[in-house]
Amino acid sequence: MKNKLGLRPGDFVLFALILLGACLIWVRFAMLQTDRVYGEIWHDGECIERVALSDSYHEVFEVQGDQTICTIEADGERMRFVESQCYDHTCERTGWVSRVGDTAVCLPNRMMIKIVGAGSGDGVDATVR
Amino acid sequence: MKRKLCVLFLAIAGMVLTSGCGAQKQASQDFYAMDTVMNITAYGKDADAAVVECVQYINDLEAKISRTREESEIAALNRADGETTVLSEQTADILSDALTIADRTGGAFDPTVAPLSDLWKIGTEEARIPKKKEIREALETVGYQHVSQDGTSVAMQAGTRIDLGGIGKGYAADHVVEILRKHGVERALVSLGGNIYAVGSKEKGLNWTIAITDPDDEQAYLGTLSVSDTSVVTSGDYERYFEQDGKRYCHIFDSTTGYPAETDLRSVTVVSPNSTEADGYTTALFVMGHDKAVEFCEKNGIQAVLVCDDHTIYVTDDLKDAFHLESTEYRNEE
Repeated sequence: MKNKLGLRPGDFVLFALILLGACLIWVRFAMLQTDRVYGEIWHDGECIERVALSDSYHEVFEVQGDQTICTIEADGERMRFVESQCYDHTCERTGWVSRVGDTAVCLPNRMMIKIVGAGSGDGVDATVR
Repeated sequence: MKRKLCVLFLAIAGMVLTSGCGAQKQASQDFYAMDTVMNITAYGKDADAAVVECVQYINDLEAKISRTREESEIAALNRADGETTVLSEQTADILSDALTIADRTGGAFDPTVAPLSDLWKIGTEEARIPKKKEIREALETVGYQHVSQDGTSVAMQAGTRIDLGGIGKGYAADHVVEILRKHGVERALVSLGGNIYAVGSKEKGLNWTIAITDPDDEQAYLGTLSVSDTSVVTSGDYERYFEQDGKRYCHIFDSTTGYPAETDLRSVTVVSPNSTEADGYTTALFVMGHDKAVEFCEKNGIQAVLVCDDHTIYVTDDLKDAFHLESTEYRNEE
């Protein structure tokens, strides 16, 4: 059986498969590019905690660093070092981090908190400190 | 024929539908080196291998130039007590860069301030104001003129100690960029403890947007720079410091007084494709203070943003189009 284009039933199956494949790939990437914001805790270059941040989210983490325990708070869509017991307390002074791409670091403990997500929103690619 | 055309059309349609997913491969790594946290994010077919090689390069460089690692070349040089030391070509190269910048800036940047850093211990729990006699004694060993270099051979006055921390990250950035380009990476962001190198431009040829931290609020930024293929480096009094009797003592030293720099600047940002120079110049300009820094920038064609303690911002002429003031707490200098 052929139509005006001379196509066979198998051709329609092929078209359908191509379109289905394209749609599946598109959906997969659309899901990856969600607006969701995550907070990450990194120790010595390794992500040890990743949480989805939202308005109603609140949690306090106590994480063992290289020298002392770091107390880290996640509140809504922001995170901060509450206390690190380290000698310089730079991480505590950094305060809340909330923009995608922002980080706060406790160097003596090799601990870092990081906000990650689809994009920085404010268009900033990096910050010089 | 029609059938073949139809199949071809649909195949192309499928490719077009999925073309948005064909973005360049991204490789990104956070790591600790040179007493700070670093990140390299690169885009390209060979980005993974490029980033691994960059991290390896920085670790190797640190092993040679760290003055706190006993086995490093700089630690050996600092222990030489006046004897001539032969360095590797790489360590000699970075030392040569440091001495050149010191000479150009009349010592405002000086790689021999290590005895002062050791005395004040700023950034440690033992930070303190030393006695004047201690500072006087330390100053006798400070001064880039006490270092003589002939190729890889270096001799220093006994007691003089080198600290390449002032340009180490800039030097690393310059060489990391070379490694990235060798691997065909045309787009990358290299962040070595806030020392940024923006390689190439963003997608669609857009410039990178680099924010400058507000010295009064480290989580806010006072403005942004729109740049491509260049490095952006900042030094300020807000990162490592200690306070006593209401006075702030920052980690940047004035090699003429032996005290932390007393300046009317809060931060200095330099933009240059040469990150080693940018790194050294930020320190030097900070020590110089506003008036001398402006004069030095104009004379040497340095692109800089100077943030003053009265919340005015001086931007060199060739950066005015690239700089955008965001904070209402600051105003551009007239």
